[in-house]
Amino acid sequence: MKHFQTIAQPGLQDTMKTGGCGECQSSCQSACKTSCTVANQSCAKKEQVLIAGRDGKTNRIAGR
Amino acid sequence: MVHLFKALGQAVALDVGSGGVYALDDAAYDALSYLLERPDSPDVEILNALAERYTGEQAAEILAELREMIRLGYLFTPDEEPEFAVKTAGIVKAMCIHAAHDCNLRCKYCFADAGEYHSRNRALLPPETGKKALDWLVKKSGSRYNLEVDFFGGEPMLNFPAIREIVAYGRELEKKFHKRFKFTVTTNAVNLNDEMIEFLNLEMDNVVLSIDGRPEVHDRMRPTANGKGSYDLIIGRAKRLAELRGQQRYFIRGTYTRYNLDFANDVLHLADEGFEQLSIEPVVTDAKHDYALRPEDLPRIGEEYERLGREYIKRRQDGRWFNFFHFMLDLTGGPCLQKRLTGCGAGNEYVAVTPGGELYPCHQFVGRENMRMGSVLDETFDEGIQERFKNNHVLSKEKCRSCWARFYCSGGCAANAHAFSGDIGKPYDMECRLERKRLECAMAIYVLEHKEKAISGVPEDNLKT
Repeated sequence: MKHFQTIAQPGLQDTMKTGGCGECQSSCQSACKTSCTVANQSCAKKEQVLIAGRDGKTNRIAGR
Repeated sequence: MVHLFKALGQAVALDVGSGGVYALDDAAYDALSYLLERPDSPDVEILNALAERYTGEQAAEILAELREMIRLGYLFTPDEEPEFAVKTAGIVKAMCIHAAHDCNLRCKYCFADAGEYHSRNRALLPPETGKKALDWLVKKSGSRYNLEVDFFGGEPMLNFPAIREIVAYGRELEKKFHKRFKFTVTTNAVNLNDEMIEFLNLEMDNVVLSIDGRPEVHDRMRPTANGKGSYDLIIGRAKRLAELRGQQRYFIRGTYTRYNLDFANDVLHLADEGFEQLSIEPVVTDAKHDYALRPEDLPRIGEEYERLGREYIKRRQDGRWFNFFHFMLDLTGGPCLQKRLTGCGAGNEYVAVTPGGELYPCHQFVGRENMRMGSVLDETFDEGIQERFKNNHVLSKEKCRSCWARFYCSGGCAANAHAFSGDIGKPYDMECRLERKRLECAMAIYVLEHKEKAISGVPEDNLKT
């Protein structure tokens, strides 16, 4: 295709079956404390993925 | 539902139900735009419309691709509501501990009333109350391993000895109950000394430092008790903390108001000062204040987010990388749908504890009438309020049903909704409008930063189906 590029695959509904473990961070604890933004939180099940970041510059690093 | 928009000059289509995100060129944008405005249009009509700007051959190609995207289920997936029940009813896993209802600053927009939370009673949390709060959290957390505790205020570092004691106690509980406490702190940095910085960098998973941006902007809204500016007091301490943390796991968290609608300059000032993790957020306050944001400011604010977005991309490419909280978006590895429906979890899996041990749905609700949930001292807990908050998920909110952003903001802040409408289920409109604009910018930034690696059209495997 020339005119459409897939940036994110459809599949959000699939996570309904696999998700919900509740181990991820409460969004309000991350920085905001007033403005609810949930979609930028990481999934605790996945490797501590970078969020639009670069190696070593994530704000979510597993373990101490 | 499909949300089609342009931000930062990039055309983007979001398929709301499936989470699919697509970068479009102008031709695809025109075709999809036409179809969204006239959903039942036959192909011949769309071709005729496209023929105004494109050759017949081009128009046919664009339309064929659009029809293929729809056939494969990449666009216009049915808006079926997922079958949903909160899996975690009754479990509490996150807590905001108000270490101090007192503050060494007199910020003009402070929702906490200079730390007193409208109680006319300055107070520091006794360490024993903090420990009881952790005991309570462990008991309520069921099988949950990761527990979050944020030290908040007022200014929590006014009660540093208690924080140190509570954290040490938490580390004991971790071993005893196989839990992991993720401690965080939100501080204005005024009294941070080297001992405190060392402690915070050792023990805190995240540190939120309150700085609004340029010195004159910061000082105008964040004076000390004697009316002087606080920027010079804090900037060096904040830099030291951030550097010693390796520029990780912290945020500079500022507030913009009507006084600085050019807030991109504040973000960029902080970036120029060497901070790499930034969050500058809109003030939420009563419209009676001069500094309150007004609906008529929204176009100007939208332009400012776009301006910031363009500079953000440029700097991240040219070696001046920084992170802006509201532009952070992980479109491919983000939270599950369950999380997106339940949002911040206030009142359900997240509570706040006052210096007197009282429980509230979150820090913002502290002191509000009929919102007291109980106490960690006598272990009372109003499960009726918890149930109310548990059921306040995005699918239950009338206003969110028709909103494309519902799986990204999760229905917004319950405390803001309650403050402006008296109902936790009615999202605050200004917040919604700002959130949508920020999300559009965040998605466009993601697209622009990932376009080169993106798949042209759809994966080949799917094309074979």
